[in-house]
Amino acid sequence: MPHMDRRSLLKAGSCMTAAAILRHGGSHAQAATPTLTLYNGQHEKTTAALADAFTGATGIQIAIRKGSSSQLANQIIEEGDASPADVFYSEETPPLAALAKRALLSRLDKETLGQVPAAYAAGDGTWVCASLRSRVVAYNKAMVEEATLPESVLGFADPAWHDRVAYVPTSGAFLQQVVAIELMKGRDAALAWLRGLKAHGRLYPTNGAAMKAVEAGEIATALINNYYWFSIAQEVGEDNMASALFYYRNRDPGGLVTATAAGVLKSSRNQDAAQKFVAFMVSAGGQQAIVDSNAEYPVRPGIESFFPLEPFEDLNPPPVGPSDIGDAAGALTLVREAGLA
Amino acid sequence: MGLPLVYVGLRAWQAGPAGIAAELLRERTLMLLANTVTLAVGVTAGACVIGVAVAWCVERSDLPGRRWWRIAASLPLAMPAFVASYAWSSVDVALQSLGGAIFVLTIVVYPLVYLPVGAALRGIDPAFEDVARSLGKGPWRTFFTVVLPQAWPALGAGALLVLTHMMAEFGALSLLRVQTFTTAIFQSYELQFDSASAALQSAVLMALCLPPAWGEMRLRRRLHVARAGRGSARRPAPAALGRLVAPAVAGFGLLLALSLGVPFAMLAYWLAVGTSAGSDLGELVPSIAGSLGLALPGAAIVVALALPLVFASVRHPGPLSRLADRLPYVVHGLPGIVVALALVFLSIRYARPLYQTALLLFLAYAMLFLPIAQSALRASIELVPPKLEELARGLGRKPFAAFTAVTLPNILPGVGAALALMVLEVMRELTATLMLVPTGVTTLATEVWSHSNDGEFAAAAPFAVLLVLVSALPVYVFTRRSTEVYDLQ
Amino acid sequence: MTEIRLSAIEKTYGAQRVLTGVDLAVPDGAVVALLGPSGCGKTTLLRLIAGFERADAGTIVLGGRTVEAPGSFVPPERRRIGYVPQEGALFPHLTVAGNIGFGLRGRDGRAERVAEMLALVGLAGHAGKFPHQLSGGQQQRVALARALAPRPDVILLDEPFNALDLGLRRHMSEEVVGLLHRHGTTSLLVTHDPAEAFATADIVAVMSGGDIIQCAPPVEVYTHPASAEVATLTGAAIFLDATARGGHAETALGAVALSGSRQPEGTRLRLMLRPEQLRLAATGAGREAAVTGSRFKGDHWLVTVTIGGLALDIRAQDPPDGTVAFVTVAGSGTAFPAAGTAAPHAAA
Repeated sequence: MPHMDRRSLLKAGSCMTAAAILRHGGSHAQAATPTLTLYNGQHEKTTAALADAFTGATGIQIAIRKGSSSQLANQIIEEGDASPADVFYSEETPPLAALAKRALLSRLDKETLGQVPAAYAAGDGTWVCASLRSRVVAYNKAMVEEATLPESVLGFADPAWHDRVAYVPTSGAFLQQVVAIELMKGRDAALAWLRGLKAHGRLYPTNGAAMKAVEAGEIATALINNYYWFSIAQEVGEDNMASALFYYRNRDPGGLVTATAAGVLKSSRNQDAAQKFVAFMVSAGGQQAIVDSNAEYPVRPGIESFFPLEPFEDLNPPPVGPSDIGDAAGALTLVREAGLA
Repeated sequence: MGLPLVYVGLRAWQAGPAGIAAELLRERTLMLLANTVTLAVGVTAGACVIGVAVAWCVERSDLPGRRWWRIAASLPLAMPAFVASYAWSSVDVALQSLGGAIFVLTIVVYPLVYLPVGAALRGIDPAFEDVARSLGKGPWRTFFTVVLPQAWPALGAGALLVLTHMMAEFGALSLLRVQTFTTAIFQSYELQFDSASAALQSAVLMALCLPPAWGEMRLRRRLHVARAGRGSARRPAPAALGRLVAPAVAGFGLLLALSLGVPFAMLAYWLAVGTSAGSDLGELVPSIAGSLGLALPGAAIVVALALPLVFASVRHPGPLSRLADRLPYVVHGLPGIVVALALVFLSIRYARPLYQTALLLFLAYAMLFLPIAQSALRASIELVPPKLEELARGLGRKPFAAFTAVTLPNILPGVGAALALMVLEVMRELTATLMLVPTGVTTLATEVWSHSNDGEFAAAAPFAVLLVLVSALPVYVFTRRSTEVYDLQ
Repeated sequence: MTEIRLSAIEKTYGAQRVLTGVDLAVPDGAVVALLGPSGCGKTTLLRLIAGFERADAGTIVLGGRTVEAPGSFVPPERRRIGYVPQEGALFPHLTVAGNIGFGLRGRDGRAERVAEMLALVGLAGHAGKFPHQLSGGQQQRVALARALAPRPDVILLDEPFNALDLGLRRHMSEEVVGLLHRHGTTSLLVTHDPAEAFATADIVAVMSGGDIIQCAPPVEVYTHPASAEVATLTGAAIFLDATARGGHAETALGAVALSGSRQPEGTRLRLMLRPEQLRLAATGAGREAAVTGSRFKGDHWLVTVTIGGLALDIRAQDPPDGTVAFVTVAGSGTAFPAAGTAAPHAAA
C-alpha cells in the first residue's frame, strides 16, 4: 500500500510539473521574443536548417507545424481569419496557388520577388519559389538495366512493369506530374496512366519509403523526386549505392521540374517578421542553407549546391511550370476517379 | 461524446444524398471494406486461438515455469502495434501485405484475449470440474462442456476488444502498406484536410465499429457479474501435458520470440546501423518531454473524469448514471482518427480558442480511453462498501473528510492502476496525437511514425526503443496487479 | 453390492501428513457421516474415494471393485460415484433439466429420468429454470438430483448443507438423507456439525488428526466415546477428576455410576459427563453448590454453580431460589485415564 501511495504521489507531482512546463513553455516563447508560426510541408531537416539560420541572423524564433502541404493548405483555408499561421512553406506550388485563389495571401515585397527569375514567382506576387527538384526514376541497378526503362514515364503503366514500379499518389509532386501528363497528353491518357499504375504498380505511403525500398531491393523502380537518392548516398557513399537515378531528358512529363514555395498569410499578425522570413528564404544565406541540407536546386542564381547534383542545364524538362500547374485541382479528381484516393 | 457523430452528420448533410451514395458505392470503398473486415476478423480469430491456448497452458496445465510465462505472455502489450509493424516491415517485404499485417498484429494483440480468459480460468470453481468428472465426463469433455462455457464471456469480451482495436488501427497498417478505412481517411486528410470523403469513410467505419463495441460492453458487464460469485480457496489440479511439454514450451518460446524478440532485434539492428541515427538524437529529449507532458496530465484528467462516473454508477445506480456509464463505452469503439477529425473540424468552426491546444487533445484522450479507466477503477471502488463511509460519518467526520479518510486510501491501488494504464495508453496513442498535437510539440510515438513513414528506420529506432521501455513498466505493473486482484478472490 | 472399503489410506501434502493410515468399512446401503474439525482430513478422504486425487498408499474398494491400489487407479469418471460439493456447483450455463441430465448418456429415457429425479426432489415444474433463479435450498436439491440421476453406486456429499441457513439446514439434511435411505444408495457424508451427523447417519466415523478414532452408530459414539477427544468432538462434555471406588467414580459431585468395565480400586480417572446429565434441585439429594449466576435463555435457564472449585453451567426450567442449590448426576459417566497415568481397562 505505501508503495502505491508513493507512486501516485510521484505521478501527481510530475504531472503537475509537466502541466506547468507545457503551459509556461508556450507563453514563455511568446512573451520573450516575437515568434513566427510556420506551417511547414517541406522536409523537417531542411526547414530546421533554414529556421536556425534565420533565427541566427535575426533573433526571431520560429514555431514549426509539420504536415503534408496540401493538408496544411486546406487547414489554413478552414482556419480562415483566425489562422495561427504566419508563413506557409509548401513542398510544392499548387497548395499556394489554392491559397492565392482564395485571396488568403499577402503580396510579397518587391525586393523579395526580384531575387528570383520571373517563372518562379506567382503572377500576382503572393508567393515565391524557394527551391527546385526534378522528377526521376530511381532504379535498382541489379534488378533492372537502365536501357530497358521506358522512353516515357507513361510506359510504367504497362503490364510489363507489373509489381516492378513504386508510386506515391499522396505525394504532391506526383499530383503535379499527373497535371503535366494531362496538359501534354490529354485527360484520357492521364486517367489511363493512373489506372495502369493502380493495376500494376505498388503503392507506397511516402517517397522516402519508396526510395528505401528500391535501395533495399524490395522493388525494381520508383517514381520519386531526385533528392531522396542523395540523402542515402550521403550516408552510405555514392559508390556503394545499389540504386541509381534516371532522368528523362527528352521533355517527357517524367522529367518534370517542380518547385517548393512559400507565402505570407494575409491573416498573419506578424506581417513584418513574416516578410523578412520569406525574403531570407530567397537570399543567399537562406538559399545556401536550403541546398546544403537537401539535394535540391536553388532558385537564386549563383548558389552552389553541396551535393553532386545533375547540372540543371542538362535536365531538359518538359515545358510545364508552376503557373501552368496552378492549384492542380484536376489532378485530385483524376486520382479519385482512378480509385486511388 | 456524440461529437464525432455530429461531425459526420454535418459533413454528410453538406455532401447531400447523391454525394453520399456516390462516395459509398465507389469500388474503392468496397475494396477498403473488404480489407478492413478481413483484417479485423483474421486478427481476432488468430488472437482468440493463441490467447485461449496460452491461457489454458498457463492456468490449467503443468507447464514448467508457468509463473514466468504468465507474466511474459502478457508483455507483448508493451509493444505498440505500429512499433511492431515498423520492425517487421524491414524484415521482409512479403510482410507488407494483408496477410503479413494479420500475422504481425495477431502476435502483438493476443494478450487482449489471453488476459481475460486466463483470469476466468483462474477464477473457476474447481468443484464444477469435480462434479463433471463424477458424472462420467473425462478431462477433455469436462473442459469443453464445463470450463470453456464459463470462460466464454471473457473470451467474447476479449475478442470484441481485439475487433474494435483492429478496426481503429492506423499506424501499423500504414507502415505495412495495407489500405483500410483508417489509412484512407488519413490519406484524405493529408490530401484535402477536411473532405467529404473522409467524413463519409468515417461514417462507414463507425457503422462497422459500433456493433462490436456495444457487444463488448454488454459482455463485459456479464463477465463482471459472473465473477461476483464466491471464489474457491482450492485450485484445480493442473492437467498433465505429458509428451506435449516440449512442444508447448517450444511454442511459448516461439511466440515470445516472434512478438518480442524479433522487434527488439530489429530495433537493436537499426540503432546500431546508419548515421542518420546520430543526427536526430537532438529531437529525443523534446519528444520525451512531449510524451510525458501529454501522458501524465492526460492520464490524470481521464482518471479524474472517470472517478465520479464510476462512483455514481456504483453508489447511486439509476438510469442517468447508467447512461453516463455506458456512453463512454460506445464512443470508445470509435477509431482515434475519426474522433480527432471531428474535434478538429468542430473546434475550428465552433470552439476556436480550443483549436490546436493541448486541451483538445486531452478531450480526445478522454473520449478514447474513459471506459478503460472506468473498468480499472470499478473493481477497487466496488470493494469499498459505503458502510465504511457511513461508519466514519457516524463517528463524527464530515462527508468529504470521511471520503478522504476512509474511501480514498482504500481505492488508491485502483486509482494507481488506472493511472498507470492511462499513461500507457496515452503514450502509445498515435492517430489523435498526430492530428491534434499543439504546434511544435512532438512525442515519441509521432517521431517513430514520421521517421518510419519516410523509410528512415534507423532514425526511428531510438524513439521506438524508448517508447517500448517506457510502456513496459506500466504493462508489467498492470499485469501483476490484475493477477494479484484475481488471486485475492 | 455397493459397499465402500478403505484400507491403510495415507496422503501427504508437501510436509503435512493429512491422512495417516485410515481404515473404513461402509456397509451396503448405509449412510455414514464423517465427523471432525476442519483440517482433520475428512474432505481429503472424500476426494480420494471420489478419485479426484490419488492416495499415497492404501487401497480403495467400491462395490467389490478395487478402484485404487498401489499401481492401479481408476479415474473418477469411471467409478460410478455421485458427488455433491459444498455449494452445489450447478452449471450456470445449463438449465435445471440440463444439469440433472448432464451425467446421463444417450437420448433414450433421458427426459423420463430427468422428470423422475425432479419429482423425487420435489422440484417438478422447475425444469426450464436456470440455477441463479433458484434459492439455496432448491439448488442443493437439484445438485442431489443431478448426482443421483445416473444411478451411481455411491453418493459422496461434502458438507452439503453448509451454505444454507440454520433452519433450512436441519430440514434439508433430514429430507435429503430420507431420500437417500429410500433410494438405498450407499452414502458418505462429510460434516463438522455433530448434531447433523447424529440426525442423518447410520454410522458416525469421527476423524481427528488424519485418522478415524471411532466408528459406531450415533448413540454409541455419543454416550460411549472412545476417547476424550471424541467426546469433545461429538458434543459438549464436562470432565471431572474422579477416583474409582467400589464400582463407582468418586467425584466432587458425589458417586457416579461408571459405564464400561470395572476399574481397579483407587485408580485416578477423568470422568466424562454430558451437560444434560446434571440436574439441579432446590432441596434434597445431591451435593450442595453455590449459585453464582443465572441467565434466561428463552425455553430454559442456564444456572452457573460452583462446587469444589469447579464452575458448572446447568440447565434448569426455573430460576434458582436462593444462593444454594443441589446438584445430582443422572446416568453413568465414561472413564478416561487421568493425565499422566496409564489407560484404564478399555471397554469394548
